Amino acid sequence: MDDLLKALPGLLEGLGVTLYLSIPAFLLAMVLGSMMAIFRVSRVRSLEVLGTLYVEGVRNSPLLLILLLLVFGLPDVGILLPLELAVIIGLGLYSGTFVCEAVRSGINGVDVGMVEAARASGLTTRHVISEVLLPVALRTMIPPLATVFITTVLSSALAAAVGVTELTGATRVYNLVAAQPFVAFGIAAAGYLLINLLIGWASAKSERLLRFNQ
Amino acid sequence: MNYSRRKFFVTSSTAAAAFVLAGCRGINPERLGGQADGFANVDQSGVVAQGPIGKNLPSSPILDEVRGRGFLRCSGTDTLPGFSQTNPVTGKLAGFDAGMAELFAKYLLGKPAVNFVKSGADTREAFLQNRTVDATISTYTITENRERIVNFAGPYLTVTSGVAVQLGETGIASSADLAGREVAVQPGAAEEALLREVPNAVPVRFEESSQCFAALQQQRVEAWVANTAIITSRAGTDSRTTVTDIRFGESPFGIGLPKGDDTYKTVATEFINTIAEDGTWQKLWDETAGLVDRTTNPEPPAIPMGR
Repeated sequence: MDDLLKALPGLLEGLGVTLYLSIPAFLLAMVLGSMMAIFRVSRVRSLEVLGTLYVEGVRNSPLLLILLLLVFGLPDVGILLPLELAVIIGLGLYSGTFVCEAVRSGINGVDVGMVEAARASGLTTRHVISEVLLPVALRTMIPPLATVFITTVLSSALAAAVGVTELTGATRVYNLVAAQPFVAFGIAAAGYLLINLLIGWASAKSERLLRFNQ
Repeated sequence: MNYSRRKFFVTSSTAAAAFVLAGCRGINPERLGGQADGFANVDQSGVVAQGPIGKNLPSSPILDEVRGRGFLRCSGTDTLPGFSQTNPVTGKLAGFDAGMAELFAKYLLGKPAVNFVKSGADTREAFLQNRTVDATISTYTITENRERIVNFAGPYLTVTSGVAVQLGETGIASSADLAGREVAVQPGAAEEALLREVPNAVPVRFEESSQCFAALQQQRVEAWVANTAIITSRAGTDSRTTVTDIRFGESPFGIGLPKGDDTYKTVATEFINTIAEDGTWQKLWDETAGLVDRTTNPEPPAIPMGR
């Protein structure tokens, strides 16, 4: 118990590092993924190819491989990223592919008839997109996007393998001293659960808000 | 497929192939780890073949179970050069700890039948507690906290830690100079030794010694701490890095055993004393970690019974 109290600051710091890695990574994934989703539905051949190459290329690589490339491969061509930044970029690139597919399916899921009806009632293209297409598409996107966010948080544990002491890394440090694996990893699991329940709650709340706006 | 599209495919696949080929030529074998570092020839099978077989071994719950099964389940790592690393050519585990596991199995069963279970520093206690394995031989430092939940036979080897730095580094002359600096370590024994000696050092943890080494070469960290055998094997042979004279800490490595079977622990202790007395221990060191680390030359253990 004494060990645990002494280790608590380190574990909390680890939790903070997990958030510090996964929140920027998810924001990067949102920007990149949305952009690539628009590319993929743009009907411009070159942009579609670019979007498809990105999704199929990155989504089909193990995240650990991407992280190892960024951490140990890039310095060989003269680019030495700080470890945290390399992890954020790697996570963002990886999660971006899933964001892209979630956004694309959200856009594709909007009933064509609804868009045609909006056009027929005299709305401009801008209004069709902002008043009809996006609100409907966004609502269907929220649950898959929340899942991507949760996966991003959980995947950030791989940072422990490339020298970043986030929640999993901090837990390993604690376990090395205390030799209490079940307690140690139980605490880590509770930390991840806490973050992800918050994400789930926020997702449900924003879904309700969007429904209200209709 | 129309003409322009075919042309696009031909051009792009040629470009891709050229890119891959160029990449292959550029790969430095040292980066792949394991081969160019002096541990390529580690092979303990000759020593194991001559290892002793225990006589009149007693009966105990775990010993009986191992005998009935016909092989020893032992956990360890496969990424520690000189101690326990998979030889890429033979596919077999090679090194001092790997040899200890085989010798222990031979001592108990008459043949070196080991079923290797990979475990990191995180899972060693759990594997012993839930009886996934019969023993853990994995540069496993004996500590008070661990002895509360697992038995240790040993120490069978006590190592000191060394420090490697970039060539030309002058600011690191003693272990105290590591305070506040980023130091690459592998999780486990090396990390513990570093934090005991320099609590203010900033450990940057990488799973494999090749990654710690790469981090030092790429100037991601200012120093790399590991036991002297590993440090010497990699950093001592590279043009960008050098091994300092700094030595600190003593890490006593023990054979981790499940709690509760003290007869089994006594047999394991007798095993260590037996191979130390008949010279097997020294031969094993000379054929494995000692191949590269000529300076350390540790003493064979002599463990008082009842420890």
